Amino acid sequence: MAISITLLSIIVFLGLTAGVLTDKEPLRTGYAPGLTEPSSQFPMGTDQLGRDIFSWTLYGIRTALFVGIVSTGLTVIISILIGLPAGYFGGKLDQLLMRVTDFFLSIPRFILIIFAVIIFGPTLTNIILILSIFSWPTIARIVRAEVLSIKEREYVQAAKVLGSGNLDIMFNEILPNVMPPVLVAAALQMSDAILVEAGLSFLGLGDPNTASWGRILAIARQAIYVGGWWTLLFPSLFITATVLSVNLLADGLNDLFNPKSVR
Amino acid sequence: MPGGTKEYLLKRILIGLVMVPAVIIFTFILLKLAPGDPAVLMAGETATKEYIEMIREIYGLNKPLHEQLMIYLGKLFTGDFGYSFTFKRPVLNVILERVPTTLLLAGTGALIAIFFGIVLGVVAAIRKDTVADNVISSLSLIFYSIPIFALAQFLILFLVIQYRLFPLSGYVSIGVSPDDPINYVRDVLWHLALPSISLALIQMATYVKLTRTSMIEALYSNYIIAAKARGLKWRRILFKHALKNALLPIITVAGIQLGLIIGGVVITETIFSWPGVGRLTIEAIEARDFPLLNGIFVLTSISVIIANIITDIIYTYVDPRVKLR
Repeated sequence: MAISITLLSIIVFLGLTAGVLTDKEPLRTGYAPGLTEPSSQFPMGTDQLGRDIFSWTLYGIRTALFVGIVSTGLTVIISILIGLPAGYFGGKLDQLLMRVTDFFLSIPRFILIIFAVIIFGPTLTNIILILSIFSWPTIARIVRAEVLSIKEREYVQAAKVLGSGNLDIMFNEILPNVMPPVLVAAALQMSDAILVEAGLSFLGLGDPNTASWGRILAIARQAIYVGGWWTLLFPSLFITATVLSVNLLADGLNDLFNPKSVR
Repeated sequence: MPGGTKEYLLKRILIGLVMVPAVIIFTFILLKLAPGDPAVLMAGETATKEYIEMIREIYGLNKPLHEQLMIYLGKLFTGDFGYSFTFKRPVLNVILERVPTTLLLAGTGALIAIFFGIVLGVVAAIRKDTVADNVISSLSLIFYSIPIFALAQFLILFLVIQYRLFPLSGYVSIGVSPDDPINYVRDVLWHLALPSISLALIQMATYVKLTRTSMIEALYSNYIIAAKARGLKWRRILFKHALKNALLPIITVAGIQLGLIIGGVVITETIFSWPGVGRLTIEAIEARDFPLLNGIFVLTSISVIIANIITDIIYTYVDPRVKLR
């Protein structure tokens, strides 16, 4: 947990101070005549079109975290709005939720996301919305399962007897106790969202106006054949460190909430 | 089979069968939601006016919505996925041709991942909290976090560009023909190595973690302690009693992984120019060949649905205690 928070803080700090750490713009071509190795002027070198990898990688942190945080936030909100009433009221609503989640869990998500991005266009907003809309079923199921066990507990029954309304019980009594497993799942969802966005950009389906690690790595495909290892190494380090620290955070949260689980 | 199992499996298959039209209707809705003219989308942006009109006619796009849906469902159910305007051939044929190469890659990747995942997971569990355990657990978490498009490129940088140990890309070398079976198989395996190892490395962590957790659980359970007390050999306890139970969750996860790994397959095939369905997906994207992309989506969905049903069937056979609702 300590490692992941330290690592994540460093990454967030670098992302926020990108504007101070470099005076170069990401994605702007012509800083150098061609593929240039790392030097004091270009700490991570440049690509074939003379774009500065250092600035691109730093601004890439912002894109990755923005996509990760916003899409995960949306996913969690949708999951709660659907999973909470489904678990609480049961019946038809619950049946419907289960069938819809069955559906989404039995189709290949990455291909679905590609499909939707092609149809609606590769803008950052679209990518975030598509990611959220196609990712909520897993977390909604977790919410539902938790609600099913929590709603039978005494304090919830007590609140009911005391005349609390359904909304009040759902959001004030049940929701806070549903959150621990949801937070673990949300952390995993966030690392997944970062990977999917980078994957889309790698395939040329990212937003062309944002600095994404996936796109540098697509450029690396040609650059590594002519000695440009730096186009591969630095963005790879950053994306791996980011995803790793978020995954470690999920592990840490899981241990925190389930201290008895086997390690 | 114990009572109830048959009913459960029947229900499972039924739900699976309902999913197929659901997938098709879902793509229809997406198509309708898309900005622009669906006929142009199906015909391709460079299509002639006549061809676009023909597509409009074939799919009945001037008719009321419910009739359009019926025509669309009827076509896809009879295996008519439309016509790929980049390949100038029916979509179904184009896709089916690529299926065996993809199965070879994905299957090999999964087998390597499952085998080494179990071995490393067992080692980590037996040597719990030692250096070996820590190294295995940390490494598998790191590989779990590396995107496949970075990992595969590092393999290319070192093993192809630096040391020239493996071929750059493709499925088989030029000039090697199936008429010479021994050389052919050897050449294909040589090409298969890097893409399948890339795919295996990113999946392996899941199996390592799962095996380790369930092995540790098993090793501390009463029946293992009892087996020890009866004086059974450690090796026998380990493999016959503990591992057998620890393997059950692997089957479930292997089924789920199949759906998740498809994204990895698309990217791996692109990087190594492996001529399978994943590479075809990218070709379809680049040409904005919508009927082809649609066909790939529907067919991969159906394969995932079928794979999930098969996993469930195997699972109920292996573990007769399972009687899910």
